[in-house]
Amino acid sequence: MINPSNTCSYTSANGKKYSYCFIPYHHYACPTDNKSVWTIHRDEEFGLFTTSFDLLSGASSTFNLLIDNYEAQPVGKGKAGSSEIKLFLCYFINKSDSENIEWHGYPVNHMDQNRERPSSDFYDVGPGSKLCPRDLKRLKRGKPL
Amino acid sequence: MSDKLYSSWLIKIGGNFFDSFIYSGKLYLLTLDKKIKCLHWDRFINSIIKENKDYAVGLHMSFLDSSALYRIDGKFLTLLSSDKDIGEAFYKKILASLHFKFESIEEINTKYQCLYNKTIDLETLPADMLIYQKNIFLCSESGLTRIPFKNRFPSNLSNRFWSEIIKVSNKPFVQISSASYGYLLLSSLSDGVYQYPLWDYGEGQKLRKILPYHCSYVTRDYNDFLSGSYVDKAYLIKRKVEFADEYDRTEEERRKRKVSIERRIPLNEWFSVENGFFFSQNYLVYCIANGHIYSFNKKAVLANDRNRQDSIRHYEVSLPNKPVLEARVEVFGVVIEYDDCMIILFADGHKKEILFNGRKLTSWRTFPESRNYLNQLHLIFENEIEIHSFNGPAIMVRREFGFDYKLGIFE
Repeated sequence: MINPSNTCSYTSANGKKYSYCFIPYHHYACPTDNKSVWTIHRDEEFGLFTTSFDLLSGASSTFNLLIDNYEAQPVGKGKAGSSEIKLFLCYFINKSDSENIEWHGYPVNHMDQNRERPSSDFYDVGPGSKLCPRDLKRLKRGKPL
Repeated sequence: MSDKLYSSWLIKIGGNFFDSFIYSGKLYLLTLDKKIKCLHWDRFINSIIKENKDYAVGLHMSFLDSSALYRIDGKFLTLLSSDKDIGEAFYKKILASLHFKFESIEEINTKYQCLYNKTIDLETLPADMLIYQKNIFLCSESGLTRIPFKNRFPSNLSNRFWSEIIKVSNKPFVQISSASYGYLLLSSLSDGVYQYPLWDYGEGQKLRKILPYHCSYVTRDYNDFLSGSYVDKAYLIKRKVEFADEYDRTEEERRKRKVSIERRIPLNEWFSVENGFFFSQNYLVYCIANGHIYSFNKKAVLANDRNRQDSIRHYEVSLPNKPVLEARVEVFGVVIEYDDCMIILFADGHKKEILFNGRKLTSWRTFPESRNYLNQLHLIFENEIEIHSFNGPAIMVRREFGFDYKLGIFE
């Protein structure tokens, strides 16, 4: 079980320590125009962070997917116009200064932002490579899943 | 004349494919192991024809040459209708139903020797591909690349037919479309639409942003285009061209051509819908919303003239009331993708549903820019590709939804 406070720690196999913050507005019941919300349990969210792609390489942001039977599963909700949509892609970002290494994450809309899109490696050797071709194509193409 | 309305020609090929494209007598199959394999399509189909001589005409027109049926000005069909006996005999041949199934492209090659030995090895699977003007264009999250073909396509299957892979831009794109005046249009989600001139290859700086609004896909529409979005508004865009020279023939003159955006019409307001799927073809702009399909006359939209009598049309077709993933107008009708099926609204008003039955559709393609493959629909599933061809007297003559290069709107 994760710590009931808003922060969790994780030490990787190579001894590197990470602090992960559950930001309250990404855990509200409903998304707002510019803030998506998680719909999975915090345990799962934290698990997706610790196994996110390329986390150990020193990158300042990483992605992950919740996959079941080769299909991407929804991890959150977001707003598109006046309607709510399911979100499938997890985005984790490091907001560290030199003193503290602190991460947080939120679900992103793969049909929307270009700056929050995973690299080719994410699809070729990372979590994306475990998807069925249909979901892989739709994620890359920015089509609804 | 036969009671049957349209033919059902189908070739199934087993394999792990991600995409396909047919171009100039070759079938390009993109496999999940990031290779483009090339099948000598003409040789393959001609071999099938030799084994099925009774169906030679149908096979030829379904898979090798659609131009007699669809592309030309209808003289061929007029000629057929002037002689009842010949017309009936012809349609009988066209309206046959024949299915072919192959376990793999290797099986096809063993049987007919039509697979090129060399493959194009890619670094990543593309979000979209387009083969146009002797180039394969590929876009993905890592940018835009092109692979030019060599001038002479080798008849020897062991020769390489392409030059080196050229990186055009590192900018991520999700879709590529050909456009008039020698440009490609590229969709870049929240970063909008870019255009890339085809006559000035290799210079990344020639890539220019032309629309700053969210764009998931572009449908080309003669000189104009439609910018559609899964998360935001769709726009019909009128392009304006200033020619440097009256004739605009040389490369130098084409370089001086200025293509800009003259007008931008938000389509959601025109159709008064928030979540419709928009697409266009020639003279019409279409919207599918809440299980209905509507069209607007494009000129009326661009002229902002809602009072034109012919401006809006509602088709009497019932469609599933579920999200449309993609739709296009082709010569044989409107093709609509849903999560679990494809629906084809044939040009004579009839409807065909292709159920996936648990299979997962990776991708699908039609070839509106081609001369010979206008009647084909490629469905790429996880473990096989289905190549359909749709033909029939009703859909060739009466074109409710379809387009024609000369006549425009059909009633």
